[in-house]
Amino acid sequence: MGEENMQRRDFLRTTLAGAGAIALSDALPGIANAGAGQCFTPWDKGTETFAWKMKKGPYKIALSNSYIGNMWRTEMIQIAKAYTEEPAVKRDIKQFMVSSAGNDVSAQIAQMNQMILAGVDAIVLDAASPTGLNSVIDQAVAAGILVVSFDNVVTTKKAVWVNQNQFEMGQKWAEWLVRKTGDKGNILVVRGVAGTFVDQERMKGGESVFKKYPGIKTTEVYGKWDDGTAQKVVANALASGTKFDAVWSEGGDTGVVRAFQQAGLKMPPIAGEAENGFRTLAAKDKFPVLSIGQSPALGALGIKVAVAILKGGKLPQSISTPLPTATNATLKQGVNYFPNLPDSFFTPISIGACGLNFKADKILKIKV
Amino acid sequence: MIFRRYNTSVLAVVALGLLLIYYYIRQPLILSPFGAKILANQGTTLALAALAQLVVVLTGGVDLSVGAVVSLSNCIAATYMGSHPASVIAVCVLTLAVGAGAGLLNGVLVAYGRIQPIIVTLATLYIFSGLALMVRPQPGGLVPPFYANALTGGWGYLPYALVALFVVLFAVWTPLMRSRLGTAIRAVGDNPGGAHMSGINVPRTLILAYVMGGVFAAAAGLYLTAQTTSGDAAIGTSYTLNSVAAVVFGGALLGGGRGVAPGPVIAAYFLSIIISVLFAAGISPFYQSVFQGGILMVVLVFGNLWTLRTRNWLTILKN
Repeated sequence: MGEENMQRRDFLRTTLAGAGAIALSDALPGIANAGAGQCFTPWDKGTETFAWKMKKGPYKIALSNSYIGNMWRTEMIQIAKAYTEEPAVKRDIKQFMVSSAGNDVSAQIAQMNQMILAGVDAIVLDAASPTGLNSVIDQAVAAGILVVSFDNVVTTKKAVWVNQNQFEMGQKWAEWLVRKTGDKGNILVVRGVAGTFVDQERMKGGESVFKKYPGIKTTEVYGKWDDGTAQKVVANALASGTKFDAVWSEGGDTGVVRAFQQAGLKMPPIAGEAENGFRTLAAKDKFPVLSIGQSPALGALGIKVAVAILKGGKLPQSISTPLPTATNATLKQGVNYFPNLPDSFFTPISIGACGLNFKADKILKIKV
Repeated sequence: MIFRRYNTSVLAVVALGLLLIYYYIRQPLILSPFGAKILANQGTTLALAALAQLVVVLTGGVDLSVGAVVSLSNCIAATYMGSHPASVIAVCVLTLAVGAGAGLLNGVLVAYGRIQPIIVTLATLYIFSGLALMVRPQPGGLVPPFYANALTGGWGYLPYALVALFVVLFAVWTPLMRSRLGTAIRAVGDNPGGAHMSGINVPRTLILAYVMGGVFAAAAGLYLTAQTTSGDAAIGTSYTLNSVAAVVFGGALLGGGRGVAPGPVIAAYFLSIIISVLFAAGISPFYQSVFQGGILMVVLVFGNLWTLRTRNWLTILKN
């Protein structure tokens, strides 16, 4: 009975929100410039709307990070800090704290408990374990704290999930390659780390396309998302004498391209991640490329989602964010690739559809 | 008399006291029922793991498989517990039995295999981590809310975690250490030859010490399961070295023979709480681990300064 009432109330609210979208967009500039629908896309048809009590700002927001020590995580924190310093965002944020616990679940539990004690309004979370934090998330939610998880998301639906769709990423790479090769040919598949969720999802996405075309043949190697390893395994594959018409690669792409160059071969069309080295080589040598990567701006997006929900926005519980994509036509020096920055730099630092735009040199200057 | 027996623990007590005072200044809310509860919950897993390490260290060994046994028992408990009280109790007993079995394997290899404990437990570390992955290839699992609440909840200012820990300390640890077995463990650690000549069955004592260690490590895993309400095969890694640090910080000698429980347990709380204090103090995440290590080092150095006052270095070297 109570539940029924609740649903009706929610329904009313969403309808009202829809009807008054224009009026609301003035009140909620954060949501408005995102074009609402485009940025906060529900994961799938089954995704429910996240129910949360509206709260008056400005807010205290904490970013709980787990592992620190690779380029992606460092950029992620730098971008999050830059985002909270933007004048339009700063108005809504009273205080912003960042903490990294390492890949240690109990340290991250302790860290989140500390955030609960500090009385934050929202915790934005890159989790050390998909399940290990569920009980502390329960506690946070019971204490009235909104939890938004991104990148390594958690399994509890009491938190909002913000991530890119890895399956779709693999699928898009494959579809592009199929078009480039004319539905047939030999495709070299460079996978990531065996047994991980991301590797499985991307591969499933790729296979869902490849299996539709009997003319397509695939050869798999594992590059472990690492330039050195990828270069080695691709060099081995090339040494076998097989001619590859295209490459589908999950990462370590700078190494993949170098392996082709060292073998003295013309680079075939390649669909891969978004490392700076890979994009720089593609721009220089002009081989056909499709580059889609996990954006380090996901942390900033998590903050944006948290603020939007705290302000009373009705967002999906699971949000699929647009895939940052670049092709030969859209590669632009200083915008989505940077020849003067390290190869390991992750280029998709902006999520345009969500109004998140950052400059590489400014980001890198921010102290972590 | 009592003070002399426990004076090795003084350092940990003072350090924890100072840490809590500083924490209170930065975050007065820790003096609330919720604050007391999270402080207690934070250190209990490591405190139990430190007891597991201590009993092995007392024999003169070191147990590198503590973290793996924590992971393994966490995976077993979270995977098979179910929701019926009877099955919960059965799975708890089973988990402790698996811990005992793990300890038995370590003990037999050390006592009869005549292999260095550090090598034996390094090898079994891989075996137990592998088993944990077999039980739970992906993180997940479930425990009933009443189980989690019974171990991590609280009654006013009294956290159940402390109740559980005191039960383990006074109903299990103290009687065992005061029994003939406890004396034998210390004797073996201090001087195995002498212990043998005095009629102590050294291999049997070693095996029982490792079995106890396995059971305490499994208890730590059970507690961790209540805290995380799920299983993860990689969760226990950090407990191995932290338990060694807690044992040394708590005043036990790595060489064996000396050490009493309060020190390592209190040191475990110190090591677990320090990360929250660093966060409350607003230290940048990049430098948190540097501070963590630095503080630990400073505390240990200050704690041992008194030894320099002695007239004869021989007394220092002997201690």
